[in-house]
Amino acid sequence: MNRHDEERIAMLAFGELEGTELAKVQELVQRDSEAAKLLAKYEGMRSDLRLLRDVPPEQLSTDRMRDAILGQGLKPERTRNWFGWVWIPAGAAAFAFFATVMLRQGPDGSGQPTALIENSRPTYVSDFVVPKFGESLSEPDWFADAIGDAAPDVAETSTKTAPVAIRRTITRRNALSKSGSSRSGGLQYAVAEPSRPYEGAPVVVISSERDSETGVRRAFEIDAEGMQDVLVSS
Amino acid sequence: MLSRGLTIEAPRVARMELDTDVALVKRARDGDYSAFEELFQRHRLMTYRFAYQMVGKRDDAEDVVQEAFVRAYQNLHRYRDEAKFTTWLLRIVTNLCTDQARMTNRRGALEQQEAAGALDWMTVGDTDDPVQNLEEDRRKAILRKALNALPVHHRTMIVLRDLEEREYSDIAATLGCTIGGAKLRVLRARRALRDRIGPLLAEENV
Repeated sequence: MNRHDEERIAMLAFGELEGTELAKVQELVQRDSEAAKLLAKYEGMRSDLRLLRDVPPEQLSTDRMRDAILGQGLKPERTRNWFGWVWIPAGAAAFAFFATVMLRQGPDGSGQPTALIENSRPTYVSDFVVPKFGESLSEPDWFADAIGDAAPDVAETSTKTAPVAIRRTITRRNALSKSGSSRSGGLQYAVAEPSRPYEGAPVVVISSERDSETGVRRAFEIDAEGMQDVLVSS
Repeated sequence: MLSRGLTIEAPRVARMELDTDVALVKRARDGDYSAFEELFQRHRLMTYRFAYQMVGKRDDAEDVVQEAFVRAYQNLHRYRDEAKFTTWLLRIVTNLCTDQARMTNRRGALEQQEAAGALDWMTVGDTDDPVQNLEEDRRKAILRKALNALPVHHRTMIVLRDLEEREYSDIAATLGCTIGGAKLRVLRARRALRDRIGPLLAEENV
């Protein structure tokens, strides 16, 4: 006897089965003693439940109810129908009126659409100028026009000059190798734009080798234009 | 004098009897308190019976019924005409009974802890009818005890279906579930009740 059978037996006991279901469960009860016991339990429970149907007489008072409701001034709450059929067309008409007025006149009364942001020319990537070494980083005219007086701090700080040169410490071997056509090592990024002549301060390269007479390190000044190593001290 | 009074009252009574619950609700919504009183008279017994079976005490049941009608009066605008008024009302009573039963269970458990079971008879209900058979009384007491010990959702199903004999469609509407769901809940509740009655009967026989 499975759970489904138990449920059917309970339904049989409470008179809730009909037709073929009823016949099947009755047959089950006849051949299975456990099912018969279960049916007896449920039937006993049903008959006992009937005993509980009797309830003591109530003493509810209409006056007490009236006091509880009217005595406290309670009233049925009204349904709040703020958007009833009257308000919907009235609201739609008002919206349509204002929308029409706004579209016809525009904000300045000319009837023409007004651009809120005026952009006289598009901005290209080429507008962003890469400063040369030693050149002051003053802002372009269009930038100054755009920001006006709104950003004095930015204008002040942007007038500082860029580093005049990049110094690197390299070995003498590396420094010498830059005189040839094949330039390798870190020196090649000392010049921002190889196609233009280098106008900044000279690049001084300090060698790791020490002078045999004085014991100090050797230094080389590099001519950026020809990329020739120049011995400046010995 | 009496006959005159009757002739005056008769048309009003006849009219009210003809009124459906929906019509009475409508009149009550419009401020006619007598219409609501008529609803109260019609359904007070049904609600009281259900409340009594749920909470097990007459005073508590009466309080539940009164509170249910007060809430119904205040919330008449929420009632939709497509549902039966009794179903809607019974839902209010069910919710109140659930709250009440939970409170009673908590209170009863505390009291019984303190009194070590000395107050068991208080939760059994009225068994003071001398005419009834003693065996019947005993079984009734056991069943009442088992019913009161059931979780409130199971007790609701037993009361609605097996004590008050409500239709499954009514039960489904009251509890806000499908008819199939209502049937399943009733089956589970019966099984739970059966499981509780067995040990109680064994205790009594010892």
